[in-house]
Amino acid sequence: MKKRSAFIWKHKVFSVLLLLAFLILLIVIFPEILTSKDPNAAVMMDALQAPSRAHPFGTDKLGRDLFARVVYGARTSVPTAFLLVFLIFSIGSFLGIIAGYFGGFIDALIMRIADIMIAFPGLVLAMAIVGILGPNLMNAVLAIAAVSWPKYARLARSLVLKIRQRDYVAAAVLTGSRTGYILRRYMFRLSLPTLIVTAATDIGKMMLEMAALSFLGFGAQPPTPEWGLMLNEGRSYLQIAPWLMIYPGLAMFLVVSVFNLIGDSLRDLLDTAQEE
Amino acid sequence: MSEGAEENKGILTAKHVTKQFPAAKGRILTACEDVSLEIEKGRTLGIVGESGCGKSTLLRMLCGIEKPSSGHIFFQGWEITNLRGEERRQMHRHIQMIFQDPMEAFHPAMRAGEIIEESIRNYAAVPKSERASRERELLKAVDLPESFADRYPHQMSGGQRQRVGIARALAPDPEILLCDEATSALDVAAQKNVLDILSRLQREREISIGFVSHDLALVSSFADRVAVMYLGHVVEILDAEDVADHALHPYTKAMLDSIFDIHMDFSREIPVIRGEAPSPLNMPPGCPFCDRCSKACEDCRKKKPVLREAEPGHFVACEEV
Repeated sequence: MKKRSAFIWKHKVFSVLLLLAFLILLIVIFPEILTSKDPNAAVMMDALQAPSRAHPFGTDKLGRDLFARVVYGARTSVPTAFLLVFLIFSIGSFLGIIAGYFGGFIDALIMRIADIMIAFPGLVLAMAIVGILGPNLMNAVLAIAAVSWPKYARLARSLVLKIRQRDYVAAAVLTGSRTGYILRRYMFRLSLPTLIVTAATDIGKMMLEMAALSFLGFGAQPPTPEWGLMLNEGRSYLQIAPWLMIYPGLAMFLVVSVFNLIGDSLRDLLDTAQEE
Repeated sequence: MSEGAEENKGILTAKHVTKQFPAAKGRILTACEDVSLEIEKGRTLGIVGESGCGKSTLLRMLCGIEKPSSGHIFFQGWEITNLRGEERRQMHRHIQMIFQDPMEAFHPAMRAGEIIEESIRNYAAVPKSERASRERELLKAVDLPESFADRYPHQMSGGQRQRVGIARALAPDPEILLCDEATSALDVAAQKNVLDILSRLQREREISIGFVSHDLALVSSFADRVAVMYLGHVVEILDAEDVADHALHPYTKAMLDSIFDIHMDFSREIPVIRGEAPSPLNMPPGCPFCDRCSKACEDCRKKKPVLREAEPGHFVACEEV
């Protein structure tokens, strides 16, 4: 316990951010805490009402409570962002480590595919992929994953190229370690801190990309409460009902900021830990 | 194998081994050129030379971390030059290496116990129940208390780390230990300690040792045979006890002259080897040492001398002695 409080005191910013992220996750799991309303219950009589006591964020064109929709929107955005980061982290790191460690033809093959993916404008390629697969949330995740993994592959590869030159890898080979073990215990384990920091800073970015696809109509489909989609739905009412864009935008801004700041302070934390 | 008869004595033999690395601008760096030498069973071969002469590269080729560009390496008559996969893994258990920088040689997040256990487990010769006792036995063999199993490398002194390195190398029960400047990062007391452990292990387990160092005095007191390297070439091979009085090659002699000794006459001028070693990117056609040699003649600049037997068991690559 004493150790933990010392850690919190030493890393105040990080701890506060972690607490905020924890609160966000809590809302994702138990949205009922904040609102008792159903995000999909349409009451046409109440359409496009300004924020009031009954509807703190107002209502949309179908009379649905916007506050409930923003709260439930976290339930869509946060888990998909985590899933997305997990996917690109695993695929990218795996391919990058393989490419870096084995080199030669395998390296050339993997990295040229990565180069091709990078050469396209990401969102446009993602739209093309969703266009082929059909627009829904899962396909949007796959599409963004397909264009985002090369970043991890390149990073993991460059880390592995450095690590494999070290004497302790030669020692592991000499003492009979099998390749799979070296890849796991040495290459993956030792490049993990850097990869984790990148993944943490990517959570916010992935959330924005998902929202962008949904905004364009390639991601979440109505009536799913999703921030990007809500922005799009509110767009045509900007003049008469600005709250339809303000509140989902604000929610996105807050959540993305929290996760970006966590990524940044996690990097500072690991950097100093390595120096010590 | 055609040259089988010659391999009787040597447990590890290098034959005409050359290693070249591609360098920038299409140039080629020659780290080792036409190196032939052997490590005899149960004895110690010292390899001496200044930094950059290719001695570490040679050692890395001998244990199979690097592949030679040409030439052959035999372990007990078995050609191990280009092994792959499982065969290569099985070969490694016979030839272990101790690294120069003991901080570089360990996974930064593994305890000494895990490091040694990794090495014990890999060849599965020891059942799970006996691993702990084997681990203790290995720590004892290098004079470390059992409690060190729980320490991380960065919590140890250089000498202690190096001993963990020796314990790890001993775990697969190798026939050969290759030491790459194993003592040069240590202070004098730790140096002596590591050398004592090595020579005791050699007595107890009949291990053959290849010992690379830049310290001629240390090598000639510790090794049985000494090979002197200069710019990727072996220039002289002789018994260690002959180094002080019977060395023939001008380079070996120059090195001998530059050894500091507590009894030496400090008023005397210390002879230095003139000039710089030529770049391994630009190997001279003749003798590699001719630019700095006092005895060099026209022939030396044109023709590369080969190792010849000047006296029984004493080989030298110089035409002028």
